[in-house]
Amino acid sequence: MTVTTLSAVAARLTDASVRAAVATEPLAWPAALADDAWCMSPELVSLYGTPAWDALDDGGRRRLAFFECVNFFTLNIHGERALMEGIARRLYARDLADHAHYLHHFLAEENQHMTWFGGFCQRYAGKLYPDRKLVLPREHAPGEEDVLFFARALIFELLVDTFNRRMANDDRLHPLVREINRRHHEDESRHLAFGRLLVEDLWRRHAPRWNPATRAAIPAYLAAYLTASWKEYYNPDVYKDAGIADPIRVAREAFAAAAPRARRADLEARCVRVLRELDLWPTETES
Amino acid sequence: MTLTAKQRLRAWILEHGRRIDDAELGDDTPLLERRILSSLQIADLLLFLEELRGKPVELEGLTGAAFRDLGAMARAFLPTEPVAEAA
Ligand SMILES: [Fe+2]
Ligand SMILES: [Fe+2]
Repeated sequence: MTVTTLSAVAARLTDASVRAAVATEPLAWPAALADDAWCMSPELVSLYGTPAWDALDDGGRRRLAFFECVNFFTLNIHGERALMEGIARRLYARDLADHAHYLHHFLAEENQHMTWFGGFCQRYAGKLYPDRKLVLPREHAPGEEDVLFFARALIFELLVDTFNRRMANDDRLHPLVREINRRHHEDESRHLAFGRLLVEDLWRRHAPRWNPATRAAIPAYLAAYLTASWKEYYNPDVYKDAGIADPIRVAREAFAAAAPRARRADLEARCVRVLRELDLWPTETES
Repeated sequence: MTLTAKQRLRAWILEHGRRIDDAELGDDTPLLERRILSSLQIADLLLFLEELRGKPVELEGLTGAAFRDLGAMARAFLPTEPVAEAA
């Protein structure tokens, strides 16, 4: 991918962002959500297909789905906050200066997403779940930190978008939840188009100058990052709020159980395919 | 005999961390600096610590300093053990 193409895409996406911003009506927030509203597709609830799910009655499942939705929206906020911090820091950096104009739109959109997700969590749950991620500082080869930052963002956005697309089309869900998922998916299609090209550009440009060990460590790290991202979808705080006993053990067991594993493989397929196409996924011998 | 919370934490690090033998892991072995533990393991480790403590960890304002070594983690997260850990 040449820089010229990336610039052309960024220019086209900027126009699309401007049009989308003009067309967007404010969200309609009901004073309260009905107790029996589904807020997450049951098949996407982390415990679906495990004994803990089977033990719940219908009301308990809907209640769990509500807190899963709060967790999903919370994960979006934590991810978007990290993304905004990183982008703001890099706004006029040399590698990205050509795309600064698009990045301003990107930031504005992520900020708006956080008002949707945060608005939902604060209004209906009265809280967000805390973030257990911590990025510890370490030494990087030139350009490595940027490659990792944007590759992590791409993984985060691809995973979230798979959930968004499914939930936008699920007519069992509360209309507000569907609408938030639909709008997010619409904006994220642009972020994903840009993010993928940017990761490709940075990786092709910087990696050849790194030593082989540094280069080889990247796909393995990203695979581990995807696993760590998945673990956040199995949040004991959610299970506790849903009245489930021994929530940390339930989280650990659900993560290891067969049905959730198969579901993750399905939901992450697009993410893995994209990383593979970019040579950013471990080959058979490495994994 | 039952293990103390700190002994269980030490066993967790030996099981999940990289490149370290039992004999080598002391209270002041730098876990992050030597990349025995990585950023991606912190969330799992925090959940394990919450289990050990039996209550949540205050996450706001938490930095890598609390995870520097076994001693730092025990001081930051674990209740003080009543029995002195001689030898
Ligand atoms: Fe977003
Ligand atoms: Fe985004």
